[in-house]
Amino acid sequence: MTGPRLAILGDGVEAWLFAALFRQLSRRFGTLTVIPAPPAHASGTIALPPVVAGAHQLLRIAPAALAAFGRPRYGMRIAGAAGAETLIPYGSYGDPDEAGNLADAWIRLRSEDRAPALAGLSANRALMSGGLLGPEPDPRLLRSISAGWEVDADRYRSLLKDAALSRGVLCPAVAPDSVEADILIDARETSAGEPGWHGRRLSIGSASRRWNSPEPFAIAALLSAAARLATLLPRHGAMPLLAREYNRLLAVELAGMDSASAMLVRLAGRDAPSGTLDRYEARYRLAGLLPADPQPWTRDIWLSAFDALGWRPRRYDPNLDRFDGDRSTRRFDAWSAMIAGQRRGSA
Amino acid sequence: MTGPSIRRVVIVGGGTAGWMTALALSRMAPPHAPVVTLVESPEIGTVGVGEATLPTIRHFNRWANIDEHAFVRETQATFKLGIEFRDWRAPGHSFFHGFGDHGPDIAGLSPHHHLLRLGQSEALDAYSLPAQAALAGRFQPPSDDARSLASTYSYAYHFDASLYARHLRHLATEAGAGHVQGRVTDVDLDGETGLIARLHLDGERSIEGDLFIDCSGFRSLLLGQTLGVPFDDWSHWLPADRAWAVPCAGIDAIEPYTRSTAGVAGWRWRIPLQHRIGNGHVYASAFQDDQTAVDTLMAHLDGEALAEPRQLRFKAGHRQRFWVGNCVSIGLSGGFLEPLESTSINLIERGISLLVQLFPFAGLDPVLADEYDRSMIHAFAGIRDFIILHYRLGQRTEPFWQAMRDQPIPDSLAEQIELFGQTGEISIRDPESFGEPSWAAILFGLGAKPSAHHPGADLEPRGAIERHLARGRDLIAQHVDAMPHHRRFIEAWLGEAEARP
Repeated sequence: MTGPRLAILGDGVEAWLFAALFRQLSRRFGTLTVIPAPPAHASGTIALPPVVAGAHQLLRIAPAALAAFGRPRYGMRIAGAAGAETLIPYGSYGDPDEAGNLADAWIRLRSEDRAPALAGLSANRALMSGGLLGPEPDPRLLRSISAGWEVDADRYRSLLKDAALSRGVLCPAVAPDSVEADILIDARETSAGEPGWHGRRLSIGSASRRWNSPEPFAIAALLSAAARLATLLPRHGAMPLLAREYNRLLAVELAGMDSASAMLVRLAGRDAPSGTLDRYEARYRLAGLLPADPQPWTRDIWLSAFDALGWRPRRYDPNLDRFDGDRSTRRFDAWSAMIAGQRRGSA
Repeated sequence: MTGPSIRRVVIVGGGTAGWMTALALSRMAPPHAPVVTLVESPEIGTVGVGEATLPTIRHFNRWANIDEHAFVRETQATFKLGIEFRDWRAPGHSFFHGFGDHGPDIAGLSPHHHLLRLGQSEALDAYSLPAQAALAGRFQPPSDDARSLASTYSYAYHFDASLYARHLRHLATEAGAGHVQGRVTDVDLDGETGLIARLHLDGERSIEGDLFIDCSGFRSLLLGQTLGVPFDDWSHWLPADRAWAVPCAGIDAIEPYTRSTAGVAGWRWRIPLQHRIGNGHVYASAFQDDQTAVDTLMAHLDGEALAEPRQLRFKAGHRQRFWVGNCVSIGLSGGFLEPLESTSINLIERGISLLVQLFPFAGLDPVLADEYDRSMIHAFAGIRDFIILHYRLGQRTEPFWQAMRDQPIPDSLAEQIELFGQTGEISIRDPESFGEPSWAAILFGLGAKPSAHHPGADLEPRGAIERHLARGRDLIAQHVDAMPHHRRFIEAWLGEAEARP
């Protein structure tokens, strides 16, 4: 076994998810030891973002295994004032494999005050409202669906721990201070300092304190951290440069998550200062543009959020003038009918 | 929003940028299609050096509904698979920047990490299908089948910029663009809003508009001269400030690539077209006098010169804003980077694409202008770093090259070079510009030798990787052997199109 010794402090979902994924991505490089450290791992239910599906695939964790102690999470529920609830679905409006983006077409119709309600165009939204998929769902509908999970934290942690240990992650029953490591990865929520790679210490757990949000941005950030560290594997003599690049990429990601988090606060009816979000609003209202910066949300999720806040685009991308607006209307009709039919079929 | 809706667009300048913009805006569909008029001075020549392109030109041509066969026929175009860099690392050495990758990832890592481990990074070109095809003088369009090796590359064109402008003029006027011949003598600004109100032309004519596009080239007649937008000068990073350009007679073989040959104080381009070869010499006047520069160019022509050499003067950098009030800059009026990686027309395409997307049909607004500026400034910065890289790592010993290696460079590039040097990792800061294979081609081509590679490469059995790479080289060689020679491909391809009913 060659390469540096990496140790992960923590014993919760964050520690074991990072351990399993990083070990899978970095394969046999170096040693990876998990050092269970207080505080004790959280229990109850934990939310996972849709991007976790890729990690599960790599770790060969089947949806059926998760379904034993959890359920799919098809979008975000944001509690507002006076008991109001806003639903922001994941997934896409329309078949992502079909040419011609339905989000852009919808913006065009919205600016002309003839757009159908977005809620009827999202299979994810239907599923959030209690709809079920029929026995033979249309493949186009399936492709439009994206889901995270809500799982029992204890059982999920056990699953991840098994996945990590079976991949060669070590977890010796020794005192934490007896484990020697070249890089210490702090996966505890209580870890000090900002997320990032500083000297011989990598802080990934403190991300969870950054956002007071129902959306599991910290898990998404943790998954990115594992992939980023696997690319920038610590190597002798180059640690400061690798850390600088790691932190540069992290800063870009965190800025995007900050904006998304601020958006959730605004959706909950509270103020959240964000220059980036103000720019997004101006671009959308004036030109019908959706965010294209690197960030955790798809354009379709931003569209749902903008619409939920009642923002109306005053104009649209003139490239769409090349396409028949009535054809878009027919596409929307067909798509919403497919969703409605599916709901009826499942009844 | 400021003022009424925008209907009348006036484009100043009849070069590549002007006519590309005119065609694109004329292709916009109702109800927001503007009325387009292009003003062109017959007395002012166009630069016409932007004859080599990047693959993105194909997106523009497709969007603008330009028939590929007609385009290749009318502009004497040839196909381009990349750029050969001669003498850049040191005299006698060459390498290739192809429009494609160096093979798929191996065990999750870019191939260059495995080549580094095996001590074979000098052989990077051998894993580039476009490089091997180009150097063999062969071409065929890539395949749409993602499983095919032939889907792993792309192509661009070389064309005669004057013929391209003529072809676009024909298409644009056919699509409804107006064409006014005249020299702009004065520009009226609205006293209240500061917007451009009208252009005065010679012969006591004038033309009014709602939106004015400055495609006047280096003169920057509207954005620079009239509106006084300052220029961010990058000549301390890119000191080449002059070029000589001359066409010469072609030879029988048409190479499907641009050649860039480094010289004492700059570099020469060679762009093979169907009917001739375009040549030029870019140099820094602080290190080489004009006569030596033109003599050098003329001494390296493949055939008889077909015109007198023409001199161009320029400065690297860009205007601090590209869209001010009702004036938008596209092309050289907004900024210039030497055409080392054929980015001039690419920047025009980006400007046009943004302009169409942000077209202010419902009225002017600073949000639209800010968005345009932000994107264009970002595009310039990304390309700037890639261009500077070419001058940074070679071993040439002339004073110009020593000065280029010694001078400060942007922090973003310094960090990228340092990271690569110590880890073999390539950091991509602008995903919309040049990707990892492009950076790898230039870094390794110039002789960069990272002191480490990704540790994951060491986990694979050496023999298995060697066999995998050898198989890749064989497949590329077989594929190249089956491709037609470039000239024969062009003749057959154009012939097939003409034979169609």
